[in-house]
Amino acid sequence: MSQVLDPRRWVAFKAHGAARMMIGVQACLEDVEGALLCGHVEAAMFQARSTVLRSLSILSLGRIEGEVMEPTELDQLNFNPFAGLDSDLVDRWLGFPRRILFATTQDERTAWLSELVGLLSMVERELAFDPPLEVLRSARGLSGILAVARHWEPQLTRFGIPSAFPREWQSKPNPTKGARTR
Amino acid sequence: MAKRIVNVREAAAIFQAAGFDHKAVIADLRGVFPGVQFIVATGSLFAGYGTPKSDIDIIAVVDTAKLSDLPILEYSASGRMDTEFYTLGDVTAMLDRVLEPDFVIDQLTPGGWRSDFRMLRTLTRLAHACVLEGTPTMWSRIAALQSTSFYCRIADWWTVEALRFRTGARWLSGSNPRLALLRYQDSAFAALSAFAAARGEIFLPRKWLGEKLRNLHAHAELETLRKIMTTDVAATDHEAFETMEEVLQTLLANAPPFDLELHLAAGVRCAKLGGVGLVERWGLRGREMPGAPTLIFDATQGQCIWRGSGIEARPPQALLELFIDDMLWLGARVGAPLEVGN
Repeated sequence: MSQVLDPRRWVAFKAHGAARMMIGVQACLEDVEGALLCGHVEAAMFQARSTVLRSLSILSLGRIEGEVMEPTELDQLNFNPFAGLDSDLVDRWLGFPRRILFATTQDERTAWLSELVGLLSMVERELAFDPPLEVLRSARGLSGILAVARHWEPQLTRFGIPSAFPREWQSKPNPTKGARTR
Repeated sequence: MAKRIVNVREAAAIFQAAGFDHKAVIADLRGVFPGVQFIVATGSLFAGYGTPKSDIDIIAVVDTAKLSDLPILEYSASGRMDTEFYTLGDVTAMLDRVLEPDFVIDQLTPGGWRSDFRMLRTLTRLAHACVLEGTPTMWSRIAALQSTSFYCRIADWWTVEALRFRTGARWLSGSNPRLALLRYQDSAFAALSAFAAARGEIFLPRKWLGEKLRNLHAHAELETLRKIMTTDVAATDHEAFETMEEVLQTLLANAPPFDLELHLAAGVRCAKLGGVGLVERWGLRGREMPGAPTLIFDATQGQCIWRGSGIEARPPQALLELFIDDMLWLGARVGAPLEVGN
């Protein structure tokens, strides 16, 4: 048993960390694997970059500087995914994705992917869910994410923290929003 | 030049490779929603870039007033399929709106940005979709998305994003060089995405940018992409910033003049406490501001708190610090001044 100094931060870390891992990080890692299979190295680099930034953002959630609302990837302008994290850790992982562009052998690509998987394992250890989080894009994934929602969304509401689930799951785009005219 | 759309026979092969039968999928959807108007298969596999790990995305348009928004996931031994439902009214309204000659995509306010981004994401997926079943009217309306005017809409959206991110990167560079270099990269990715979109490669996910440029035989742009990708964002030396600025100077050489606005980010609240102010987000982190400046502390969500123009624009120091702390949202627009209709 360990002391929880800030229960609101702890709930934010657990709930948003689980959602970011299941909805974002796992999918990015699968994209990396798929891109490597097809020799799409730029796509592999892109998704490794997303995997790294999203993983760091989960670790950041556990620090007092971490932002709980992760914008959609294309709107992450001043969202800082490594706020509050040790600079050596940040530098190590920011420099990681580009290495795939210099990998020339299958062994190098395999080692690079293994290192990326290691980052996810580290983040999962920090989140410390028991049993471990399900893989969303698997047969048990939907029930897994619904279980996360059932346990953690009431806690987020209780502490006044925004939902951990994507806005897309909560409402469709509103096409009748007032248009701007030139 | 219009991008080639996968035909039904090719779509059937994609379904089969993923362990699905497209006719059974259509029959299942018809069984659940007899009023289904339109069924399309879309996603990266149908846009021409997918991998064995990619999902098949189905969009079903149903003639009803309201639907559950939760995507439905389905799995076979070898593949995954996500089905999303839209009402006919929503899809028709999106098509009407985006194809209006006077329509301007909102990238200036946080709420408008999110709403219009989601609309564009849906429409670009429809534009690349293979129609499995649908009425001729709906078919022709979707086909209108394969037009130069729609491609230009998407290219313009990316150009504004490139300008927005370049401005933000400059503002971040003094205090958080690692984050600034990441955002410089994002700006360049957006500028290259604008290049690809103007030539018909409008599928939004950036991860396929390399494949889009390869499809277009855009060798110089592909070289630029690799140059940006291989820049070490952890190095934070002067050379890395110079490289980014040089690349963007070229990529955005023909970008039009633009305006900027700052708004409070979602979840930000301000409190005047005597002579001092507290700006906090979600009650989880905050910043003390001596003097509680009126332009921040009297602002409400959705209200503009600062305006500027061009790449050299810079807000007052107090606002810059709040921007760096991710308490403010930066919007941008190009062209003539807009009248806000909402």
